[in-house]
Amino acid sequence: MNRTRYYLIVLSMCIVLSCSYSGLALENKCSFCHGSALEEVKQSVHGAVLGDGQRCIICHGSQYEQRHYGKHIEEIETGFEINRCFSCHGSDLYVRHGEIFPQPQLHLNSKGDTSQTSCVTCHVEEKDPHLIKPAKIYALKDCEECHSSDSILLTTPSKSSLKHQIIGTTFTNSELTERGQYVAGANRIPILDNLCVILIILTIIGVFVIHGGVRFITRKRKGE
Amino acid sequence: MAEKIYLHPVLERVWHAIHAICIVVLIISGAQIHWPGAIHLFGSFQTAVSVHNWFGLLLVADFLLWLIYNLVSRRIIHYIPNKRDIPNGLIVQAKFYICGIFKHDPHPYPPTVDEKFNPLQKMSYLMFMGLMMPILLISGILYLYPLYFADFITSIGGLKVLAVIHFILAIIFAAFLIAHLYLATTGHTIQDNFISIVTGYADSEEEEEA
Repeated sequence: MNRTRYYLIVLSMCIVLSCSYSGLALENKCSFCHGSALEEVKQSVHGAVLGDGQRCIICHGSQYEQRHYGKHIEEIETGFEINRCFSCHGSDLYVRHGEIFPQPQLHLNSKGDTSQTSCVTCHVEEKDPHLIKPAKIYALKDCEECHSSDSILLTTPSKSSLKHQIIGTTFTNSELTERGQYVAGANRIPILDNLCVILIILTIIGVFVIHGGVRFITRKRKGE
Repeated sequence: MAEKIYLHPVLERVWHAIHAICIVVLIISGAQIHWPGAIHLFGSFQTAVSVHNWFGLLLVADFLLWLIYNLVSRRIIHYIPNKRDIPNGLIVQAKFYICGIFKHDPHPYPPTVDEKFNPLQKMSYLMFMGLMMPILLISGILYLYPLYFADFITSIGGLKVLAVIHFILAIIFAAFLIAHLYLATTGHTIQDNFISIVTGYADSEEEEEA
């Protein structure tokens, strides 16, 4: 009898524990502090597709399940894991993005390699980072948002901007640049740029203005 | 009336025209890709990238055409400096540009059917077409298809190193283009060499082509 009671107690403890760590319980935990974020996700394109209990952990990694409240925001990784996108999106990733920009392979890596651009860089709006809309309604399509001297990839993460935190902490391009990654139009070596511009200007002045000028002055005149 | 010599066969003129168009388009579109905030000649960044990619591939094909044509026809010999050229020919030609041209001295090495370039032309064309152009094109192809050459690109220091090599060479080519256009004006008259590269014929008593 005692043995049966013991097994029942162990079994019920297991059920309680598994329930407490289930997605649903976790989602409820998340919503305690991030209720507005969860509401945004529910209204997002993912809201109807992702069932209860899936909405946080489907994008945020396991590290996010760990207790992180009370920490400074700088200490907390966003926990967003790009390869989680590819469990649903991936089969025609390059084809669909190839319609938008010429080299999708350079921007996206279906293996989840974050040396490529993150999905959220283009699919998340500044003010509503969790309210991901259908791509036809919102997606960043202006190449120069990244490929320019004031690229969002190079922007210093700002406390006031969650999107910048998303990009800044996990996908910052300065870190990628150190590893040899390069974003045309954004990454540059200023001194090299200046030297090259000076070379071009000096060449123009040297041949057309100086050499050409002396040729003009010393030209053969009529009657000579 | 000066005697005309047929200096540039039609295939060379077609090659030169395609090459020139490619170089100009690539320099402008490349500048827009590098400085997207300052240059918008091709409209959007995406258009500039597409144009740059297509004209880059056209330039690769054009370069291979040039190489195969010159090797098969043995006209590559025009680009190879001989004993006379190094170093004496180079010095004589340089002195002409620095001094003689202002005194209206005759060109020291006027083009002939057998030797259409002067020593400085041979050296610079050989360096640009034989060394720098292949590196520029290879760096461009690696940059266009980096996933296929990922190991090699990583071994040289990543896309950044590749991009810097491509950029520096592109700037050197842009400077060369400026000098090339200027030196083309140093013929018997300013327009002579421009006419010659279109018609193929040059005055035999004339010289320079740049």
